[in-house]
Amino acid sequence: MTHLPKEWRFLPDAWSYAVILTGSPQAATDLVTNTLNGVATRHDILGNKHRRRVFFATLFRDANKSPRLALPESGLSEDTLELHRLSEPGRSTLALFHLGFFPIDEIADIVGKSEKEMPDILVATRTALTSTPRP
Amino acid sequence: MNLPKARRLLICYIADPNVTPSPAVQKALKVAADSDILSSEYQAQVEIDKRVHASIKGLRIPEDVLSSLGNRVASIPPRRFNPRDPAMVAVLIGFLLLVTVLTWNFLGRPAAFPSAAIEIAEEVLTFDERPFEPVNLPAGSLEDWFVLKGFDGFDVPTPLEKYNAEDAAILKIDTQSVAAITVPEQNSQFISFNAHPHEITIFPEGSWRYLQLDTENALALRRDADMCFMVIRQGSLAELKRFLEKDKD
Repeated sequence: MTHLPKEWRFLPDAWSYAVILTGSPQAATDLVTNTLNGVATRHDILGNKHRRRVFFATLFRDANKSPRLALPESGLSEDTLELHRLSEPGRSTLALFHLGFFPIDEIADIVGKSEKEMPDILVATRTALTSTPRP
Repeated sequence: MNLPKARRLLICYIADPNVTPSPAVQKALKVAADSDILSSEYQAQVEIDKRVHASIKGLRIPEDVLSSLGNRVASIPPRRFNPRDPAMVAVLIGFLLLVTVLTWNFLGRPAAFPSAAIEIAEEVLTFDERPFEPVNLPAGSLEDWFVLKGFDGFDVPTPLEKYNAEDAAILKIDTQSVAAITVPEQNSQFISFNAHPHEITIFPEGSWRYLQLDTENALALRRDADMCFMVIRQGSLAELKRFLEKDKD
């Protein structure tokens, strides 16, 4: 098991989030690597919490610039593909909510919404998951 | 807590058996327990959240990817000096504060009129016994007279040497000797004393400090080397300044 420094131990979870966003483990690896390269050279980022927030915000921004890649051969579970197919900002809100790194107001910042909108977004996203037919 | 508020709280809550809910969430859960609608909504939410949580936590980063990321992290150079670093900002603020305090001590205090000189002026003006002896000589020629009386260092600024001193005395104020002469033609008294016992600093040396002592008297003080020279003049501060400016050259 590779040992990451404490301030970077969120990287495996960032990769999981990237998989949900891209729908592809390979694309997730590329996205996390590129984001890591970008964040590592940013000298304006101070403090571990700030770095983590910038990292996830960058993943959110960059992933949503690209098309969704989920393919049957991607090897992802149906539950993961369900999450992948959700629309934004509900998909990221729910995923970040479950990763547990950020309070609700910071998640709102990352997805570009106000904190007041968060409950409605969560309800709509959970409803979308409920209405998805299970295999 | 009412039902809508409880609902909004529970929507933003993920049940975790290892974490005790906050008091607000506990209240919301009690409200939910008393409401069939909210209770069923919350149970449905819990089921969905279990699926989502299991799905996210079920994703495992491949070991080679983790190793690659670990290597990249290890190659990140340590952070260099950054002026926006909060620690640097704190140090900078502390340094500026220190500079301000030192500047105040070394420049600000000498810029004010020294309180020790005010006390001397007040003592001179209220001296009960007047041990003055008539001299009737120009102020600039009294150095030897004072030396003979036991006071060294009496010195009058050159422009004021010409004024005639009617009488002179050595006064004892707080065990320190103070040389005083009266100059009636200018309604003034010229005072000379050693600066060290009174810890009087004036910067730059030879410059005047002014003060309106009360409604009747104004003061001007300067320090040359170890000696202070003070003019106590009846009248306003403006008149005193004009008097000293007039004789400047």
